[in-house]
Amino acid sequence: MSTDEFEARLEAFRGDLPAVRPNARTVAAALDTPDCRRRRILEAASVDKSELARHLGHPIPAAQSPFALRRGNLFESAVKENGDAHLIAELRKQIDLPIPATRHKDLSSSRARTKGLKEMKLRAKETQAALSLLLSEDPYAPNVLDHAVTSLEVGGSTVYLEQDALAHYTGNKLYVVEIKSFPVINNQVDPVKLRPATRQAAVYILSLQQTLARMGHSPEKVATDAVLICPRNYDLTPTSATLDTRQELRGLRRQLDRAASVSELEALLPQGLTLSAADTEHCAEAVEQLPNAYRPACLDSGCELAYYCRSRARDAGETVALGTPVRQAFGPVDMIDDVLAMADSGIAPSRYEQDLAADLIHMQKLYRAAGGGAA
Amino acid sequence: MSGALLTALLRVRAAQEGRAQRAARFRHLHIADEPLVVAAYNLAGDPASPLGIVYGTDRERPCFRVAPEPRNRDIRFRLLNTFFSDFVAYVDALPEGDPPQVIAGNQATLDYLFRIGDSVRFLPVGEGVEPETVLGGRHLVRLVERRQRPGAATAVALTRDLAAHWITGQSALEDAALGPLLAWIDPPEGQTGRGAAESAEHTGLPVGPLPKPEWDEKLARLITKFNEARDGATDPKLVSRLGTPVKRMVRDALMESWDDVWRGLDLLVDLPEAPHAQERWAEDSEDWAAWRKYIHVPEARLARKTSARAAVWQLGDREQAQRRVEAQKIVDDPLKFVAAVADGLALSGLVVSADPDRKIVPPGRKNKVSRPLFTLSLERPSPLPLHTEVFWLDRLACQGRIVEMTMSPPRVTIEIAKGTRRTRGEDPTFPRLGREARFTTLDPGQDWRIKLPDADEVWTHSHMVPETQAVADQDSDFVPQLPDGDDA
Ligand code: SF4
Repeated sequence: MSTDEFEARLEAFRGDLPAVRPNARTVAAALDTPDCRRRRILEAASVDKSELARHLGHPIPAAQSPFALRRGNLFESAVKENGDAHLIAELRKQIDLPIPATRHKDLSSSRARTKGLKEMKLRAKETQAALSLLLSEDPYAPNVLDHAVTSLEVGGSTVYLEQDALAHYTGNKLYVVEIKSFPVINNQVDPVKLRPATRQAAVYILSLQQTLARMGHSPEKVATDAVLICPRNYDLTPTSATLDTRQELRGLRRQLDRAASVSELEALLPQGLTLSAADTEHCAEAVEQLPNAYRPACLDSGCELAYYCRSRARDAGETVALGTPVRQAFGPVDMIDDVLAMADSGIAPSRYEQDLAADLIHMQKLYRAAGGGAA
Repeated sequence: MSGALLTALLRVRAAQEGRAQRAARFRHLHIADEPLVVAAYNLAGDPASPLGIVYGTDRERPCFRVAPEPRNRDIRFRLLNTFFSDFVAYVDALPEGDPPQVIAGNQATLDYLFRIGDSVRFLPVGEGVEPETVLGGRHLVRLVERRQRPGAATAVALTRDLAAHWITGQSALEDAALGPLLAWIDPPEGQTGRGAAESAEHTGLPVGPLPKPEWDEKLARLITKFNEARDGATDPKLVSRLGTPVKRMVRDALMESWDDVWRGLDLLVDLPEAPHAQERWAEDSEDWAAWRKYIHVPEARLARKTSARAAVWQLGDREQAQRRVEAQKIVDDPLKFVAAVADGLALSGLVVSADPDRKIVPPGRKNKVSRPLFTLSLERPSPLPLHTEVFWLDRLACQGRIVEMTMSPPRVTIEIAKGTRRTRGEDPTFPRLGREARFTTLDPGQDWRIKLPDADEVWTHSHMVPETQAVADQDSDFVPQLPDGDDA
């Protein structure tokens, strides 16, 4: 089956559900759930998963507050005001860019008045032209590119990504710049915020590498360190650091290699399967045909189906709904009823779990004797 | 992680019964007579812009402070100044020797209180910043920071402490939210933990510091209206009048959090306190006294960051405290002991042979030394390997190692090498034939001070045990210049 044919099939599968285009955040978030084929297919088919979750009766709350969005925009414009003054100052600190040699170009407004995918394609072309100039060592080429657009191949389709401020050329390296509005307080960043930021930077870096490769340049020209710009302490004064993304890049490549194979995805998608906005039951049946891998980590992975999948796992009585450590504690016994049967009777489902069963019954006896029980 | 296998089993049980299961019989956390309960909402995206704070020591008398536009400095500092002046008043009113205790619903709120304190503690006084605000910020940061030391109770995130005492039928990740956690421990009449937890997720607001984004959307409209109406003015009366709709919305939401936090606190308070919790609180008290002395010296200097040397010291101190708390918990609480057994950190068995008077000449030595020997019959083969160092739970100074073991029948033989001498005129006690003996590998550390319950009253905590039992023995094989006191 050709890529086009497969795309048509994915389209048919999506049925009348709305589509969404992936972005760096969603591509990066999918890394948290590498084993889930359900998510991969739904994302390959550009299904709007938050709509789907609503149809399935398990909506997930909105992810971002309007206040947070506003502050993010405010900080980005603070960094870029006065001709990128702060951006350039931070770049100078991080990658020794001499200020007089800075020439910036804003790639955000495309000349053609197009919207959506078309606009992104056009901007990607303009970005490529700017990169060509830059890499040709033209001494007058702009070397700080705002809002550049690069592309990434995900699951057989092209995803266009808008870079915060792309890249910058120095000592033969292109750098990805990420502007984030979470604060650096007393020189420390909340790791909960840093991790997704590092992954997103990896997504940007990989897409820049792919873009260069497509242009016939070596992807080695892209630095694997990203420049991260954040507000310092409690106001909007920018500060910066470099982020080593090599580990995330490796994970991302591994994941995308798997997702990239059209034939594999094709095999996962049952013939004739369609989603339908009108019919909840039908929709749930269709979703259930796509094998998933629910874990509580899904709740933090940005997958909008998390409440739905959790509810199914809880209904079924899977121990994994209680967390991976619980799932792992009982070896191959992965259903709640079976674990309890084993703990109550001491009888193991097979001889491999005999020791475990004996441990459990012993432990339970001690627990009860020590006064344990329900709250 | 302590108690992993037992925790896993209890989660499974809780999920099936629809009810959390106890992981502790005692409360391993001292709750002060007058803790300060705090719940707060921050403006999303900003590091420290409090929309509203509710606090107080009396459930029936919450203090509400709302900043209808916390991004405005004047309006924000009006809230902060009031909060911190009340906070300093609370701290100052405590009886001598009582450290303050801050109770928050979850870890995120504690982190947030730290940030609020940190955002003001280095500010110069003046231009709208009151001296109490700076001092209060310093106190608050100190209290929250101290919590990183295991066993400290100066600042409490209820989710963490509730989850250490009850195991729910959901994942640890989900336990980080107070509403669903309470739902599992104390579900409303006729509801299962799961049902109640799921509805708490859907209908309730988080206890803070961030409300739900959907809620924010409505709030954003009210704030915009407020800002349009005040047109740049920050006059207190005007702000108060025009800010009423914002205030009402924030108050309604915070009131829910307030109730949740008190409910969680009540659940903990209802558990009897473990003996060592009081002792750890005494350390908090010492630390607080030292801090107060320091901070009131006019030229007191505070560092933004811990120096490298201090950090190394701190790490060692915390590791030691961690070991000690773990050991104290299993001494205090039979359920914690079971968790340690399940994880292969402890064992208990019937003493089937006892030779408390055994003396041997160790290799390379000339004199006989006391090496009591005990054999325990176990129900399950020992999870502790041969040569493991163990402490006797009834008297931790009594320490030895496993010198022999058999799988069937499951038995271990333990040779005692330390704690064999008379202390303060009293003969040492040892495991007794025909009795149950419990040993642990959890090393309480060099400087441990563990008081044991009276031998006849194990697991009750009706009174504290005399100090003598808590003194560590000094005898050791590794100090050859000292004569062995028990030599024949
Ligand atoms: S929530 Fe469901 S679909 Fe999403 S990653 Fe987890 S298992 Fe897959």
